[in-house]
Amino acid sequence: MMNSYFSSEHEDLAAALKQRITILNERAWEHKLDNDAINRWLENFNGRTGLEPEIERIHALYLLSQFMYFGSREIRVLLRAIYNDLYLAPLIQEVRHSLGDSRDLQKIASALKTEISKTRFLGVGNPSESGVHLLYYFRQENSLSKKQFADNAQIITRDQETQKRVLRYPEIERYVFVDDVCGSGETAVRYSNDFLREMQELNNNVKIHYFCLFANADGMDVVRRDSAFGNNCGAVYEFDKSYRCVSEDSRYFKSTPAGINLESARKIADVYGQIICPGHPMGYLDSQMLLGFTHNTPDNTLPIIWMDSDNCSTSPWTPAFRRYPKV
Amino acid sequence: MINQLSNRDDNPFDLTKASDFSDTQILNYWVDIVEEQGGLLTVLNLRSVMPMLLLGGKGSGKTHLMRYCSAPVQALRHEGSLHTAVSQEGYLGIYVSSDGLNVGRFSGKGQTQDTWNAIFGYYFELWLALNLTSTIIMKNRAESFITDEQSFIEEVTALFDAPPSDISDIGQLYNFLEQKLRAVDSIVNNCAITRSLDGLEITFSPGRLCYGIPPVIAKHDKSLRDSIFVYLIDEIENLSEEQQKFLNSLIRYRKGNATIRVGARLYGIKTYETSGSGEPIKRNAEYERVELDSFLRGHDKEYAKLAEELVAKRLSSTHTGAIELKDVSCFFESISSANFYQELTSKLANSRQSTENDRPYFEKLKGHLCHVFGSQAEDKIQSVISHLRVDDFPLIEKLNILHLYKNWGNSQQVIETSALIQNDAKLLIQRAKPSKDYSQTFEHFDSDLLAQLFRDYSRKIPYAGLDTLIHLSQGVPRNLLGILKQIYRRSLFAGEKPFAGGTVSLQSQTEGVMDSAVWFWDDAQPDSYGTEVRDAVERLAILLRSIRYSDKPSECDLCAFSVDESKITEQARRTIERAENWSYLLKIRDGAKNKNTQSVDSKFQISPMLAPKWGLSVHRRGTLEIRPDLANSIFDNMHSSNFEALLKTRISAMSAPSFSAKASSDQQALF
Amino acid sequence: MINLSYLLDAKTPLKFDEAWDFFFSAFNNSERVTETFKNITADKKYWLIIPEYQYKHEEEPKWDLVLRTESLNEADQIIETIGSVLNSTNKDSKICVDITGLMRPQILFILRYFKVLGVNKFDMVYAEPLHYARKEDTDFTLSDVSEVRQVSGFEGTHNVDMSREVSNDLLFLGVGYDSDLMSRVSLDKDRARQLQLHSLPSLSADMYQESLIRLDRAGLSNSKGDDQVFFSSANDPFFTAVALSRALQKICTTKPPSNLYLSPLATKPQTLGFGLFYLKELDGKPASIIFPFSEKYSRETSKGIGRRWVYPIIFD
Repeated sequence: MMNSYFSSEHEDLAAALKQRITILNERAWEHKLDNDAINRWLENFNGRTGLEPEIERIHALYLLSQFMYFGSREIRVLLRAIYNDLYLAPLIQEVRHSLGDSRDLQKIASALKTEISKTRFLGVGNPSESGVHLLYYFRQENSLSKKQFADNAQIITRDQETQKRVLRYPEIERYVFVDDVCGSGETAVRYSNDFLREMQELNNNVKIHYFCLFANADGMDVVRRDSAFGNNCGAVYEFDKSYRCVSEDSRYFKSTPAGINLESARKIADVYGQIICPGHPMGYLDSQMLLGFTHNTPDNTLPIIWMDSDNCSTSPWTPAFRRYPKV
Repeated sequence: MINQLSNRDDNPFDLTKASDFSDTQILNYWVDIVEEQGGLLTVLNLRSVMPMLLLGGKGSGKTHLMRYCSAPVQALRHEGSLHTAVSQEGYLGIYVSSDGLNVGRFSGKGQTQDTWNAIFGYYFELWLALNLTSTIIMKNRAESFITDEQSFIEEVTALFDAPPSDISDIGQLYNFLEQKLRAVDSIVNNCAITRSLDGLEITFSPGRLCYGIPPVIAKHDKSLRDSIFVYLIDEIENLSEEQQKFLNSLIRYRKGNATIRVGARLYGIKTYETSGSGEPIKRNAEYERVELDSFLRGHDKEYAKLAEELVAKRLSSTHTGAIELKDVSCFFESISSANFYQELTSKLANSRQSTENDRPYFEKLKGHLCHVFGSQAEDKIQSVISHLRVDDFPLIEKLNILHLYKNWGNSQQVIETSALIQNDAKLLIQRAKPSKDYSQTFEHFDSDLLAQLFRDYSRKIPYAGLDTLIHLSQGVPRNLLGILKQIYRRSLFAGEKPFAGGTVSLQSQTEGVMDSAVWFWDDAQPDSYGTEVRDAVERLAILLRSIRYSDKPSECDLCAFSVDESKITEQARRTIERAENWSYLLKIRDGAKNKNTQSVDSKFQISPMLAPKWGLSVHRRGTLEIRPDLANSIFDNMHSSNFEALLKTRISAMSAPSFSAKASSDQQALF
Repeated sequence: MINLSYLLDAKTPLKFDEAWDFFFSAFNNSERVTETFKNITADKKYWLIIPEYQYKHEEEPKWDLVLRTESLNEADQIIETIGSVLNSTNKDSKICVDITGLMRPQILFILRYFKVLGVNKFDMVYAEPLHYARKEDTDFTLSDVSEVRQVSGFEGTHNVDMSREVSNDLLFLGVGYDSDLMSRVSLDKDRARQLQLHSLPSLSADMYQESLIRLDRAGLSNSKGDDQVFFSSANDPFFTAVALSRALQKICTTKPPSNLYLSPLATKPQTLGFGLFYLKELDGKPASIIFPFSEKYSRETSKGIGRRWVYPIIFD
């Protein structure tokens, strides 16, 4: 029973938070949790911050009640949004412009079809990484043909005769890279340095785009500034600093129920974070996110949410939302 | 990998469909109830041409009942033959619902109220005529009974000021009527911008069509010669006051072989006046009035059966294997009342075992005893308490304390009484005969004592068992679904595998019931004044709760009150009316005789759907008589500032240790 | 292939580098309304003072052009304000309307009104909030819903023959933040089958889940069927129209509804999308847009200014 973790002082608040979690669990979290799982997670918090265990637990419960989880259905919708909002809508305007701002549906449709056929969609990272596996659903949701997808290895090849490096598909004018999370922007920058610059040298008419589901605003800035993508990048959701859940600007503490305060929440995130993940106690590069999805929990999220032995926790820990380790 | 969302966890009680019941099911359910009351014809008096107002709250079954009388369901009752149905039942039911008219557009747009009144009346009659025609077409589909269609059409079209000449059959008549309606739609809709109703002509005088067509039909269709045409006009609470006046005029000027049965929510009638500032229609002379709510509430057995059917059906559709009706209730853990609720209460008492402190209610009693004996008389206090102790039966301990409070007095009296109580308790436990007084206290207050016990341990009182859940829903299937939906969610979350091998625990049921009480509280109501009504009901509930959990409650199982409505403010009356309209309060038919004035007070109960929100009883026994001052402070927000003080005074007589030294009977209280 | 007819125009970030002839905005205290008014360039900038915010005369902006209306009917409101300024001579000028502070029925009526007047090309702008005040308990309407009725200009021609046994009416709800409004509309059309349009991507990542909590509070279904729940972007009217169009197509292949009711209770850009869809595909059909009207609204429900958009509207 959840009740036994909280004395009457906090019981009402705990009940309200539990109710919120129960509703979210049914409507948004794909029943990922249950009472037991939450209790086991709360047991992690046993007073090591110096606060009463009950205070720690009520704050942990509050953070959990604010967790943002995007399930299978939602991820599919967001993959459609990448295609529609970030790729297609601007492309239509480009096509219209090239046709003299025409409003002729037939003409535009035809020209658009051509442009799309000259686009290739690729994942970021190696084929087994989460960003890449999303491509399958990206293709399904947007009714695209297999032909529109390519592998990183296929972009540049060596010409048989001249032995020079050339673009494998010279007719392709657009390469769109699709990712799930852009944290620091490092990945995109690395890609850029590894071969995108070379691509553009081989054909400077080639356009490259980087789109992701979720991005850290700072990370996105890095991509814009330091990579070959430049401004041709975008995220469905860009997280500003208000999403850093235990920072001064946190949106989660702009108005809180009585008994919940930022300092205590930060303490538990920090102290326990140090215990179980000393390298990045509050998420990779201190992102302090409360984010998870159906296929994984990113390491930008507070480790207290996802850390366990599989992820090389430096101290025993039971997670709330699991993370599949990036080995 | 992204997986398809499994159906395993879908809530089987989610409110997905508009109606869970096919017409056949409605048919079956109502048949029994209605037969008991003398049959449908009696209830709705369908052989009479006197118009009738049929009023009922949300989920009272009013709409179902009216549909039950409609032509399609009539036909169902007679193997699909409307013809047979009408000849056997003696009437033809034409069902229409006002919400489909979207009447909000017949106002404003720069036109006068008079203009809108005329247009609305015109549209309304065309609408009735269209549905009537459609019904006749339906009836004659298999076999037409109209002998001379040409002549029939001529007589119908003659009802118009300028009879159209190009209509030769009933199908064309239907199209003609439809066109006329669409023409009005078009002009009225555009009026917002054009500010003009040009082109809109009213081509017949009021009443001509709806009362003129049926006689023509009867003349030309032998099978309908002796039938009554009943327009079943539902949901007229959607009509504005002016629009209802038109309807009232239709009632007044009813004639021939047609009549009206008007369906509205309780208090959905905004006026009884007629068009052109005519005299209000007179009850019993010009129309009858029937209130459905109490009708339904009295049929617990039928409803319980329907409810179990509904649950079984929902479960079967989401789980493999059909669920037997009788299996359903055993999925829910219930409260065992055996041995004075021993199982439940012992668990409770053990949950907070402490070496330093006694059971919470004894700790509280100690404090009160100090007032009587003085704080230095530790041994005397312990002696009294030891008389009341019955370790194995916390409920009896509570009873003992209550009984002690009822016989409170000076230190001598308290000691003597406690000894007597000790004896009585023994007798009770042995199932022998304790004193009458003591037995009565137990019989009356057992459920309140149980509630208090939970309160003492800072727990919520359990509301559990399928019977209880069905009772909470008060005859409204939608309420039951709402409760079960919440319970299922809580139970699933608690890992109980509800309906999939596990039992739904008391806690999950209780939490679900609380959730559904909140839902019911927040649920939409079709009018304004939300804040006033909720504030008032909240105050009432606090009063009732304060009494239930007081040391010496004046009434048992208190969830009902009575009040002399003639003595409270208009605003208070209105608020009570609205609360009843919303089913927050249920009116109890047999009013209570006021002890002082000898008049009959109105009696109301807080809906069992809401009662759990304040830990109130869901079964009614006692009734609290509320005097005008207190009633005004509860129900009239102009007077609500007095509430706190009046509440305090009212409760003082029930609070230890002083019990306010006033007269022992609360009925004599000034408030 | 996606329905291109709605996507000929796209939202663009508002950069304040464009100039208009006329600019209209509903006066309210939000920074995102006042700042836009301040920074936008237009020959004539008008504040609309609408009764829902209950501004007293002293509170009105003193230095700007003001158009006042006391009426509570959206048609009267727009005709009395914008209608007093625009006419057949200036209808082809560059017109811009800020929908941020306008009531949803007003936004819808403007579309109809402009179409009838012959204003076939205009812009609408919208400023997203940074976040809503008091997250879970944000209260937009200050008074109870007084009535649920059709929006002027979007009444349609409904089927009123009810003699058939079962109604096949459909209610398509744009799911938003206000539980009361949603449950009220749902109650009003409780005999209709109900479909939901969710705002996803939401304006801000946390809003989607919040709206699900509100949806739950309104007692609405948790159905997951892809013929019952649809999605569209919260800040894009064009994709909203596409989603509605696609949904309608899907519904009509199984069984066309006898009457269709739409109720956009989510963001204002979504409401705009509902309007565009209606005007293009539902005019003259048994379909209408219904709305739960209240008399009073909170003047400031959001803090800060998020992204700002221009939506070019062109009636082909």
